[in-house]
Amino acid sequence: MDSRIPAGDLQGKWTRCKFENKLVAPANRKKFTVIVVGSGLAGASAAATLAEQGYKVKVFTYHDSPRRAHSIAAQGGINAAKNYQNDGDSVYRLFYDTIKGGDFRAREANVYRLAEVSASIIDQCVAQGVPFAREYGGTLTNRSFGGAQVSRTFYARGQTGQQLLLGAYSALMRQYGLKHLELHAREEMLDLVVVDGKARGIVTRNLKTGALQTHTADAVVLATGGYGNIFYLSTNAKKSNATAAWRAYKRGALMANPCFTQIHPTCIPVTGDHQSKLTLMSESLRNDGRVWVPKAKGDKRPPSQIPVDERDYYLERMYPSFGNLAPRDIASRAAKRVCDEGRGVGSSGLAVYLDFADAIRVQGKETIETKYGNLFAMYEKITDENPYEVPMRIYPAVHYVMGGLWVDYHLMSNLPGLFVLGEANFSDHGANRLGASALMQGLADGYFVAPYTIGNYLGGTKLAPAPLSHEAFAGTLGDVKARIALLSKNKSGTSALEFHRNLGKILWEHCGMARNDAGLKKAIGEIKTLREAFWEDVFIPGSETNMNSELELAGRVADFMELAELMCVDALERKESCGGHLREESQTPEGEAQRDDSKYCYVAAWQYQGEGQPAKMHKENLVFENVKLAERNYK
Amino acid sequence: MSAGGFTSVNTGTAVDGNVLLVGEARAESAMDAAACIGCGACVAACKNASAMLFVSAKVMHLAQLPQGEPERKTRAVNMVAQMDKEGFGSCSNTGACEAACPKEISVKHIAKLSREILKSKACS
Ligand SMILES: Cc1cc2nc3c(=O)[nH]c(=O)nc-3n(C[C@H](O)[C@H](O)[C@H](O)COP(=O)(O)OP(=O)(O)OC[C@H]3O[C@@H](n4cnc5c(N)ncnc54)[C@H](O)[C@@H]3O)c2cc1C
Ligand code: SF4
Repeated sequence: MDSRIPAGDLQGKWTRCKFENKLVAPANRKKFTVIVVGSGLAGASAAATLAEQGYKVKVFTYHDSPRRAHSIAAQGGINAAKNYQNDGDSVYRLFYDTIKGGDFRAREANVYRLAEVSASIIDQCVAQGVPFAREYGGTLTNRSFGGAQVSRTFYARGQTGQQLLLGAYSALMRQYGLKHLELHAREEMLDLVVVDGKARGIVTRNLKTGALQTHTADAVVLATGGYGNIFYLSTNAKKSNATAAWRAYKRGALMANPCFTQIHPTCIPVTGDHQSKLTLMSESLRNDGRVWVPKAKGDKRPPSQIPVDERDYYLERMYPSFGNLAPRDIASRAAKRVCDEGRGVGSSGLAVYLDFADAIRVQGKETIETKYGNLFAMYEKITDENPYEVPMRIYPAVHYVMGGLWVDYHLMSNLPGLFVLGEANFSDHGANRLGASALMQGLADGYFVAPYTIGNYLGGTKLAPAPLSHEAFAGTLGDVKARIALLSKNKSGTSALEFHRNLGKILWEHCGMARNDAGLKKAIGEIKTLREAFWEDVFIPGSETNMNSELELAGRVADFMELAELMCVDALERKESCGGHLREESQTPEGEAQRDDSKYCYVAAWQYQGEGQPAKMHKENLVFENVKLAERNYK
Repeated sequence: MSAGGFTSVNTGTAVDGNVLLVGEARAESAMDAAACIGCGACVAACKNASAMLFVSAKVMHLAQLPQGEPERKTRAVNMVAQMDKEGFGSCSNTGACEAACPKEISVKHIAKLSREILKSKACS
């Protein structure tokens, strides 16, 4: 495992890397084919740029259009070190904030490069016509986001992700119109084809016809997003899944820090057992809302009838200096704790109040309306309750995964020819991601990093021809067929959805925001049992040879079942608290998360060892040459 | 989209984001048009199955920004031509699209698009 970090000073690494890269002459580029799986921010930007450079590009997405990728959901914004506000921002400051926010579990060199190219992302998007918010004078405006003391977040109303994706999509469609790339919508990648140790193709299933097909290429890019949906309840799009990444793992790619997930404290909670998608509410609400639960267990009175002295404003009580603005992970854990104590509100008991009554009294309804009007309207639309009159109910939910396929500085996996971009890789956010940094990373990877490093790979590697007639394609296709047959063998039984829900419960309980040795061991046992039951009993109505969403789901859940175990194994091994994760055995005397740099300052990269065998861990030690490791303190 | 719903700018060739100033009102107005999510509800609601609301939203999003200026005329003409080629009906101003649109895209964009087309024909 070589992370291929260029030598020399931090500031010069990327420049040197680009200079040392092998080049492919423009006239030769059309001889190389690159498969890009995923058309979210990372995939669309990479595909468009590679096609502009002259490579032959084939794009795959399971959506009916590339513009439907999950990136569309991002509301908040995108960071960049432009220093347009003249408030002391710089590439170095963005780099430092990201390293610190990630609790010192990311690579310095990667993060520095991310900060370095961030400014070009904004320029590129502006040139594409992304309508970022502007000042009256016509310059670009910014807002502040958590974890930073400067204002560096660019936004396009509440639809930043959508507008950025439209920009990347329009660049993609331009290349499509010029016939520089092929577009395969509604095709799901079900396996990776490895020839002579190199990634050379994929197997896909057409979601309309069920047809399985093999595709060959000189390099394969996975930009397939995150696997937060493994928890069943998450803010991710319902279809987001781990299959592409997990199949690559089973073909030899390393999976890094799989247990690093991010939990967001302000989501609209579940109502009833049948809801499966949670809605994210902007965290800015915690600026004015007060979080509380009843002091007494099981107090089911409506909030208006609970007198103030019978309420527990627990964040203000426990964190007097930060109060309701305590960091994401601390606020999330506190909410789970009070609900576990039986003091949660709402019919499920899995919610806490976020109350604006005081803010409305002090600042007036109009002020609150200007600040949060659209969020209040969204809340009312979903819950049918008016937050100007009754407190909102919120609960934490899984939002993002920092873990993902291991990549080196070139964003290439240990499997040569396999590049992984966006949320699907593990690279830049360490143990915790700062707000508005995922969009930045996806576009940095796709527009400004991978097109260079893929060129270097293609220019510097001897690639034997890998025609579809090569036995590896038939072999992998056979594996995919056998798996589908195994999944569809039962004539009756339990739905994949039911298994998914149960899996989510186990993970949320034991591998969520707080973990401990006994809980993780218990979870591993429970997951194994559930997985056996799944293969024995899962029932898929309908047929394999046409559109069948149950079959799609079952395949994804099958992979979740295996990844869930690895997440717990990874969490079990990491006996420190870090980022958003509290390891209960590793706390300060005051009950705060305690990192252990002496033992755990590394990336855990797991290698598949065969069916039923425990995965093998490789450690990539993290070396900090520029920043000093510091404690996180929010008291 | 591939018929012109873009600005022809390759990755890495962009100038600084603040070089071309865009007034707040204009940026907001471009954003109003850009808010279209391409859901197709407008086409479904239209008795002529016209895609004018969708196309006009894209054209007017870029037409209002300096970054879209160089290809302004060809974009309008090509996108409408592509729409006709794909067999979408023509617009008879019933307004059903606006009523059906989840993003409140206004029919005024259609009127503006027609003006864009006229202008480009008059000048060419
Ligand atoms: C509600 C919400 C709000 C957010 N807000 C912000 C924010 O304000 N700022 C920020 O920076 N980040 C935000 N994030 C995070 C950010 O949106 C994501 O991390 C980012 O968009 C991921 O982009 P991506 O390109 O890596 O993947 P995605 O956009 O998830 O795209 C994945 C693509 O891969 C395809 N795909 C996946 N598997 C397969 C397969 N097997 N076969 C074929 N195709 C496949 C999909 O079709 C899709 O095209 C938010 C996330 C959520 C859930
Ligand atoms: S209904 Fe509105 S949002 Fe949907 S495609 Fe038409 S214009 Fe766009």
